[in-house]
Amino acid sequence: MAAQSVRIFLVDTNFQVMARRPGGTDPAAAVKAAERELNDLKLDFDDWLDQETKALSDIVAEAAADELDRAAWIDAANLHGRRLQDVASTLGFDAVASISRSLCDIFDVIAERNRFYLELVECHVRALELIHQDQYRDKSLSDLSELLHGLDQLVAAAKLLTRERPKVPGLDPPAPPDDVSPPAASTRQGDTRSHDLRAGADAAAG
Amino acid sequence: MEPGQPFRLSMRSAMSETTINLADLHFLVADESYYYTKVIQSIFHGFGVRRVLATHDAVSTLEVLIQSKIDLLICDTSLPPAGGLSVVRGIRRNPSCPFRTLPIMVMTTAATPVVVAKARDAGANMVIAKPVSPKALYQRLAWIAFSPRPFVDAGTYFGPDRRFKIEGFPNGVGRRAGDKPIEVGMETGPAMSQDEIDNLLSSTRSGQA
Repeated sequence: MAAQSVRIFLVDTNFQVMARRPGGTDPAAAVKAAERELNDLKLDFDDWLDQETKALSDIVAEAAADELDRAAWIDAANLHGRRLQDVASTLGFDAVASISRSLCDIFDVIAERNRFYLELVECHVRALELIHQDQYRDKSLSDLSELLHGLDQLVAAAKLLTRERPKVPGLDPPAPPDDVSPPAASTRQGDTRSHDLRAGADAAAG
Repeated sequence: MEPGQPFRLSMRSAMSETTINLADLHFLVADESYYYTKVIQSIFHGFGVRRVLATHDAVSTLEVLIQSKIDLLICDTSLPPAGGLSVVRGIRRNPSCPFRTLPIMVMTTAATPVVVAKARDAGANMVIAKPVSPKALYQRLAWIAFSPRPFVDAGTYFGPDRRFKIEGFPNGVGRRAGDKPIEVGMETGPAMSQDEIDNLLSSTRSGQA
């Protein structure tokens, strides 16, 4: 077999040539200017959060009504959750960032363990709606610690429940409908199969 | 510098007080989220970049790269439809691509060791973890500008030399022919911080991991 030739060469791209020119903004000033730009952008955050929360809420409602298949709603809701996490954490909206991070953790549990926790997603959406209300909007993380801690506990409980019942590929058949958290619609009708999680979700959402 | 020698990178000097001049440069931000592209555009505008384009999927990203003269691409790993790393691979692995050596920075929320290793192997110049801070972004731009790595064309890989070491690890050695290949397994840990990414890259490339 012929040896593969390896070519190593230096590249000076236009970016590198131009960026090294004298006369740029000094790092501290550039960072400050960028932070000012981000502060201006924050003025749009509330409207954007409204849109994203509404989109999440619509997805959850459709999922609860069985209008979307599981994969579709999980993908769609996950997308909005990641967006919220990215933007809120970058712009420093800590409460939104914390809730959306917790929401993304739920999606990770769903993805990793093939369990479907619609009510936990719903609970996080309600938490997002709650902290967007006027009386909660300016609360600090410590003011909202009970809510955030409750959500974290839900994630921990979801992980624990699925860990206790690991699936064995090839041996473990797909979970029957009553083995997983049922759709929110059925729990609302008094179904107690996911009572513990549901109770936790309600407590966390206040 | 002799081609083939591990590239010595003085991270501290490149990342602390180095001033870069970004005026007249054209950047492209590729992220699925419209709002997040605005976030990155705002940061770049603060740095003095006047022209920052934005795209939200792989096809439009490649179209803009073909039609416009872009000097740096910053691309999210979740870019639809197949992820930002497929865009990076598409650029690096196409011998006729006119912007094959374009500096590319990869952004990711899931900054796990697996994702960082995949970004490196796709040919990214740099990985930056979300949330992106202006300071971290500026430092990494300075790093790319002042510490350029040679490119390697090895048939199975085209991109910045993955062997480099950061001064400060005196016992580091480059990757050798006899070294075992890096095996990419399933993700097991949580997302890493930017510092952890930098440390991982430095130790891996200096043969210490």
